[in-house]
Amino acid sequence: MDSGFSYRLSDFMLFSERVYWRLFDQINSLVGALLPAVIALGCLLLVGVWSRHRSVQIATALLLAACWISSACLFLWLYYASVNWAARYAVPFFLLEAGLILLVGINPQLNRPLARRDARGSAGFVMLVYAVIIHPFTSLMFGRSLGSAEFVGLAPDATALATLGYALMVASNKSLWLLLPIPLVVLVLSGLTLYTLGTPEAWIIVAALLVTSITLSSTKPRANGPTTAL
Amino acid sequence: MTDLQQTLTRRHLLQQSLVLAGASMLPLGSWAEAAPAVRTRAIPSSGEALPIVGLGTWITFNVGNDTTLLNESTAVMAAFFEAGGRMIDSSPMYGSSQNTLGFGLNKLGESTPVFSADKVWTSNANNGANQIETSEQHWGVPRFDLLQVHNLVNWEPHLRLLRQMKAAGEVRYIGITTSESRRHAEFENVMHGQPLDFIQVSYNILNRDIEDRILPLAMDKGMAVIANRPFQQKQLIRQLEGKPLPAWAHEFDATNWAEFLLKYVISHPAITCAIPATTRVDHVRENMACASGPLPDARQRERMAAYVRDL
Repeated sequence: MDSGFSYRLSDFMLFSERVYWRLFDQINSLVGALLPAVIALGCLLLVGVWSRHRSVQIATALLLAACWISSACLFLWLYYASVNWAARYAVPFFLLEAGLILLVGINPQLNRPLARRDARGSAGFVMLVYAVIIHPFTSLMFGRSLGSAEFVGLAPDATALATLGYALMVASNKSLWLLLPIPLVVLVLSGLTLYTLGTPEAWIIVAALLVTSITLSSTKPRANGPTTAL
Repeated sequence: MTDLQQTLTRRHLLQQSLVLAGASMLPLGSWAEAAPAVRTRAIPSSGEALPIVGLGTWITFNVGNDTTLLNESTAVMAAFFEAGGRMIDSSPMYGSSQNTLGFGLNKLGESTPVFSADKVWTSNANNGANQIETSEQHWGVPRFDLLQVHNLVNWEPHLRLLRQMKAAGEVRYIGITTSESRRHAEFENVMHGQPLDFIQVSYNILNRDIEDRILPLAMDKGMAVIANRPFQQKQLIRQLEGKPLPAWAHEFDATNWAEFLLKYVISHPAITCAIPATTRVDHVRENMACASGPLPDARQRERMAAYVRDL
């Protein structure tokens, strides 16, 4: 829009907070009886990231990649785009992130050694646990029903938070910069959206970004190498 | 009168359902008979009378494919028509709002007295006609009553197109809009140089920039004025919540801040129609009630503005 420079952030907010949270109500209703399976698959991520077996590591990467594809196709394309036309343009980036996760997950040279109980690995695992188990309950904490809970694999924020955790645990120093940019951009944009809507969940995003940056700046790079137990 | 309370109570939901049920039982052509008398102002270029309170759709009607919210929006439209309202304003910029209006109009039947106001909003001069056609399809109307160039985006070719459409009988009225004070100089230039039926600007008790030049110019040039954001997208209500309403507000039947603020806007003689947006049936009824009650005079308006400014 040739006059786009003159708009304020709130002018780009096309929908209300209520409509935004109802999108998650709708997607959770769509999944319906399969929701426990979605949650169980999220829990598999928590187990998979500790595995020394190559096949499990690849399966974990596949699972997380599938989460990006499903949140793009279900949340962005089916629901979010109906109230925010810009959401469609995010879909290719979600698919790209899925590809990058597979690339890192399949290639042992792009993984970090299995010393995942160090500070970076621990921070990553805490973030992963938060994304899979705790984040859905923030809906209750902030006075919303569990129906609008955000689950990894359906909701972009939960999926991006899980990916930050996964990347901190699994990715080598080099591949970290392959995996992190898209989830970070997703979370920054989402944080701005939540902030403009006036919802306190924006601070969760800020906290996650802070934890990630502090972890990255305070942990010394380790030597990279293959991680598999052949 | 605004969406201050986002979470609908059971009472509000019941109200919305009852309105929708009642509206669906209305026979064709009965909206006008059912509606109470409301204050109108004449569109200067034609003399057609328009109720002084309309309905905006920015944010409030962008509900996507959510059937629950689509039905709630339809209930708001039904209550609006039942209370004597006519002008509903939207834009291609407002997400799914046009689809929501189409859903509601289809559900309420062809007899609604809607005065359809939409906009053209594209930086590509060649896209204007297609965009308007798409907007008509979303609304489900054969032609719009009013088309305006949204926020002056690429206004020259779009205004040419609108003039051609008006000459061909494809739209009844044309105009321009802005919601930004810093574009008022350019806005005034267009008002001076172009034949317009309508202008649309932001106006409320704390945003009075247009009172000095644009409103007098509109009166002088014979242009109808639509006032958007009378509550500054809820911000004014939030700001004033908990502050005492002056005792003299009863002189013009303002019993809460929303009525106080809306009556300030619609009491300006240059304003043809204010378009507050809401998702609530009770709020749309309150808004429409302002159109039938007494309005403050010039002296009272000054007192209102000073009171709010000094709070």
